[in-house]
Amino acid sequence: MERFPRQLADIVEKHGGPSLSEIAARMRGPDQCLTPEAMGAQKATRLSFTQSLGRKMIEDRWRLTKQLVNFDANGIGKAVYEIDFGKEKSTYIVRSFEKGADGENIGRRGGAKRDLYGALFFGVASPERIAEEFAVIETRDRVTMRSKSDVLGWTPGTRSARVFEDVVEALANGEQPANSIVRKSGYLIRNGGFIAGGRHGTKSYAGIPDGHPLKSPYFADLFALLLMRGVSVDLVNAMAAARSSKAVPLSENLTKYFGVGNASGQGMCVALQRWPQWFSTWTLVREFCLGRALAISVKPSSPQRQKMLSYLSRAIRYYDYLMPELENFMVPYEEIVRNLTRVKAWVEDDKFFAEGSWEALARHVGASVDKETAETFYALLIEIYPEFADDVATYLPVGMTRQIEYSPEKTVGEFRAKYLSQYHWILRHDMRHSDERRHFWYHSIEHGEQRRGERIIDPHEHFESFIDHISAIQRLAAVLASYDDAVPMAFVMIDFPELAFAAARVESLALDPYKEIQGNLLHKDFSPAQLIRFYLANLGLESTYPLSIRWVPGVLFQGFPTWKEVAAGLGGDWKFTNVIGELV
Amino acid sequence: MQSVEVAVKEISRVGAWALRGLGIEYGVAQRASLFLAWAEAVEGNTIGQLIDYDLRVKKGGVGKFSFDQRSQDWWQFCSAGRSLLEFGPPVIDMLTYAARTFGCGRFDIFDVFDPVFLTSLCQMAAERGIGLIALSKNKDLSVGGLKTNAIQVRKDRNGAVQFSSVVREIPKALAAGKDWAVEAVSAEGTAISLYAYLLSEDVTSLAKSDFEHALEEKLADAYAHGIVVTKEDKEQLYEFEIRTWAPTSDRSRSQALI
Repeated sequence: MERFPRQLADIVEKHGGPSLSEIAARMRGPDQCLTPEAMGAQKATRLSFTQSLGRKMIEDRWRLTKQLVNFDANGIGKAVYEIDFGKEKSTYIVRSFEKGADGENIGRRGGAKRDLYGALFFGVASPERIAEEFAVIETRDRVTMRSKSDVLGWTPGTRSARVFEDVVEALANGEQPANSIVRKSGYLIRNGGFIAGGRHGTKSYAGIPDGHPLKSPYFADLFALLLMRGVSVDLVNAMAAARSSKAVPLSENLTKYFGVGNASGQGMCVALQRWPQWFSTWTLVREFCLGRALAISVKPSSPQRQKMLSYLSRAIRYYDYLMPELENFMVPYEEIVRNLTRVKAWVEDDKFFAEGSWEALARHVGASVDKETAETFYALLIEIYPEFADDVATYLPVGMTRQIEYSPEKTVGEFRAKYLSQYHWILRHDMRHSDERRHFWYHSIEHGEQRRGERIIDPHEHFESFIDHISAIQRLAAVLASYDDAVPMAFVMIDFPELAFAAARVESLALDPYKEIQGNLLHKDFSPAQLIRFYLANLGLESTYPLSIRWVPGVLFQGFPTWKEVAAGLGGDWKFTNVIGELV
Repeated sequence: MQSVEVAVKEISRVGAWALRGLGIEYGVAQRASLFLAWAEAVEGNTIGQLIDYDLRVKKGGVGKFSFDQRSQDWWQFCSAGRSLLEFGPPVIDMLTYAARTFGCGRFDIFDVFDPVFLTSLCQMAAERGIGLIALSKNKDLSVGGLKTNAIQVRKDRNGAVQFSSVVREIPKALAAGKDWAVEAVSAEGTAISLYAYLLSEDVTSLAKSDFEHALEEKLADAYAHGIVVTKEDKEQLYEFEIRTWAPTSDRSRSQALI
């Protein structure tokens, strides 16, 4: 029997309804939700970090004040903002440069040569400190740039190649941009990452005190990216005004429509493998909420059915409106729209509720439509029981920060029987064929960018990034097999110190329902985009569209309420609201 | 010398790759990077030890470490020029095993060139509920930057780890019934002797003031406000990391992004 954290058991008791065992019986197995294919299809839910952050912002009524917005007709200039979290405040500064020639898809190799560069301070920065940080940013030289521990991170960004200039031109002409322009991109600025967590001298996340509004995992990162969204609107408005006296500002609807662009590469696969307790926790909370939604009693007249219909209508409009640049590596949105329409009709059909739950319908959906549509439906099943999901989300920081340790005094026999025996899929996986071990991840001399090479052909295999959990655990098992069962694990680890991390990984996660990805990331046919999409869905991106098997753009915070709404505590229900027709 | 502020997390992240650049395997380097960052935050001047290690490796002065078992809970260990960052964690694992199985354990380690990392390993032991006494004939140990020939570490009732730069108390588990005893100084001149014991007996006996070094507070301060290191040390750390980066080419570029 797998273990469930006490915290989740307490939440089940608090809410009543299905018991822990009833929930557990309906949770999907790792073979259904932790294969790369299944992970790549999963969608953002109420448990995703963007959504959690948004709820906190609205609940605590965070406020943003513009202290300086000064951009010329070409977008060159500076802005300074102050954010009021309630008890704490922060300064955010941004420097905008002339549009670069490199385009958007330059990745990490582009270094600091971005159109925009911002810095989010931990607290309120003095004018002298602001001037000092602007001077650092001004150089845009990633090698020499250094920040300090009073800065949470830097926010590089690039103007959207598809719509930015057209939007400015339209506004300068005194018009809102045409629908045909707006549909091409959900953002004006694409973020180039959040350079933080100690990088270049920025504050270590562990240095953020407990109770700080940005302490939760990913809150600082995502909040900094949200600030870029506001900058993008100020930038187009200021540029248009500088170009023409008849310029108009971007409408409130479009201000809400545009999110902040994102593009992630295959380095995310390495990050995912580095912290197994992260994806294990993300998967647990998702499947736990889904398991409960399936176990809960539903009558034909239950309000949740109406709620589901309403969300499905929004989702259909949302996917119908979007125009991804490419759909070769995903389920095309047209197909998702078609299938969501079918799902909606099934929700309206009483026969699927004869068993008194969502289970029959969920089975039918899983068997009848594509994986991405099914996952959209599952995400909405979590959404329609918000109080439970919000309580479960409080487990995220707890599960993610669990210590990964092994017990040196345990014998080899105990370790094998109790922990290693839980890893059937990995131990039985055949890694002998060269196809199984085709790829490795490495850092390039170009700013350390993560790339994926082929063994034997490409150099630097001996410095490969850790990504191969299968071989690590198989190697541990093979070494342990050469020791007597009575030998303490400490004796093995002093002979093979490089295996301690694998022993810790196995012991710490063995009894968790979701412990390792059920897929071989080295295989010649593995698509990194699947794990990148999984990561981004957990961050909270509703729409991601791979441009290749290793590069996944998407949009964050599309439809997120304006600062005016946030300050008034409004706009909490923003899932799938980012459709112009609905906003106008 | 120019100084520069770095983050604790920066040292552990870059350090993990820097250690690999020095030839240390992934699993060892990943674990060791945490001790490197911890030691730089509370002891300081640790990156220079990596430079020293690099020179040792280049001169062929590094071999395979080995140990002899003297009794069920006593080992003698030859580092063969290896860094405490490499063999320290498995040594603490052995002492954890001994303390949890027999109540106490002892390791004599010979030829330690970088004892500055010892407090970070003591911290690891204490977090596991293991008290530790470290003794050296020479004043080559350090606690929070203070040179000493002895360290004692414990965890108090609230879970805080505390250090003393003198031996405050020899717990009962170490006091009798062994074929070895805690000595005033280590058995041999070049050795550091580590004595481990279960903390339950130790926790209640002495006042907090006796364990005067609150290194966890120093660490928390370093996390919040960064650490000042010399520019040369910071750049050297990055230089070690960059050894692990592959040269680029059109083919390599095609392996990223689109």
